[in-house]
Amino acid sequence: MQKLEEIYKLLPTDVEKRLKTETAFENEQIQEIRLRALRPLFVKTNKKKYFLSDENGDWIITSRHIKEAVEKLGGYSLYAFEEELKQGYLTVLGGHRVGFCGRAVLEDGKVKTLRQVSSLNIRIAGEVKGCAEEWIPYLFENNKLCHTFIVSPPGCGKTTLLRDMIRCLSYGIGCKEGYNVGVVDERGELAAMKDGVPQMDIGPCTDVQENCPKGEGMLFLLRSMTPDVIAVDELGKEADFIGVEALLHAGVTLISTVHGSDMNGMLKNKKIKQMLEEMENGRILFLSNRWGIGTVQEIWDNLGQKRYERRVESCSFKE
Amino acid sequence: MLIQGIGAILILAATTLCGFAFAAKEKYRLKDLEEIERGILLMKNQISYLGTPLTELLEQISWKTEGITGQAFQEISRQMDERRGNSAEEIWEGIWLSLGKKSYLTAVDLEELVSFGRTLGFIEKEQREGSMDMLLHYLREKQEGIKKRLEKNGRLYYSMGVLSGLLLVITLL
Repeated sequence: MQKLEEIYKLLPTDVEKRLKTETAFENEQIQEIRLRALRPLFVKTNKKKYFLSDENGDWIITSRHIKEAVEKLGGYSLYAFEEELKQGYLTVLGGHRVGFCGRAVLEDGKVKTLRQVSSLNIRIAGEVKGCAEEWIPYLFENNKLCHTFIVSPPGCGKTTLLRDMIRCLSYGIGCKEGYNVGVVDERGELAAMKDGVPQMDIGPCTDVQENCPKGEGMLFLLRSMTPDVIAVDELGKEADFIGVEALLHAGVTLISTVHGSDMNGMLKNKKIKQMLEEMENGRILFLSNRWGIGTVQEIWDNLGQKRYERRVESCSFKE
Repeated sequence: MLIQGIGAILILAATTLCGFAFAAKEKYRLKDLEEIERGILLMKNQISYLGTPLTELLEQISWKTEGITGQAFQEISRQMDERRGNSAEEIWEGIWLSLGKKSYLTAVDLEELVSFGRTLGFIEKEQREGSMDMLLHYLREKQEGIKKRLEKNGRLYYSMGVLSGLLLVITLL
């Protein structure tokens, strides 16, 4: 409930009131709130998708709502989030990610910023403690922690699983001892730092380098914090791999999420393919939301051997 | 005779105080305008060079400024942090108009401040800085005017107070 209060506070007063008075999803977990100009307010829960309405029909979001939401989400200081806006998203307090869509302003062919925002997508960050515990033993080979990729299409719970893995490794849950975990939290979603304090439970032995590009962040952590494990969210861009090579050679274990859906798709990324070939031991966890968000569908090793496959309809993240 | 004496003293005291109050009003307004100018300058630097978000920066500035400026900046920062308004403009305007009534600022001063609030938090650097410069220009111009008036008329206000009191006493006696 606390999480929703945090989010509601960031929305225009009318929208906040409308969401608070809706009873249809009071026993469900909200995962997404979408605001689209001149279209109905949309809410996605763990069970269903809703277009909100009232006695006059659909509850329509106006351009004013979008403008106010952007102002409030940006702390009334959009200039301070220009870089994030350029990327099309913003992470707000609590680690919730807000995606923006609008008219791009270009400079030298590159996106300078966004104007006239027309859609907003607020993804509620989910902290599901314990969701990774079952999978920790699969990450070891001869008592040595393997480099690990968590792979899935968007919205399948990669970040949530990664966050809980960080917590488990930091506490030493499911392993012989706790690890020093360095987290490069480029988008502020993993630890949701506020005034230097993580708002999510990421364990007692975790150091967070926030708001820093992944490649540079990994090198920074490597130099400064002597981590055993480095965790990053959404590895994929060329620049992200700057730090990966150094990390592999330094004997530090990498745990990362990657967008993808199967092994073939993963191997299309040349850098990842190269990494899988170079690393001694690796694990790839494929997630799907076929049986609910956060379902680990398959686990492979870097040699192409399947280590686990879910065969039965089973639980997703235990809420 | 005694009552007449007391009356004369009271009249003199009242008119002298009026003279003082008239001069003091201008002085206090000058002080408020100076503090606002200082606050806006700090704001401009912090936004331009550090990109500090408004909540954080207004709170920092509130510690460094006195009087109504400090109070207003603190309250705006608090309300922004609590997301009490739908826009920065709404919060800025509400606070200045409510606190402004208790200050020596004129209606025109407040109007300038309110119109500055319309560009608060804007992403366009040129527009943001342009509106800060305009407000700073207005504040400096008003301060100059008050300083000149005080220099020219400051003593006059006090003397006028005393003299008008004397005139009244003599006429009544």
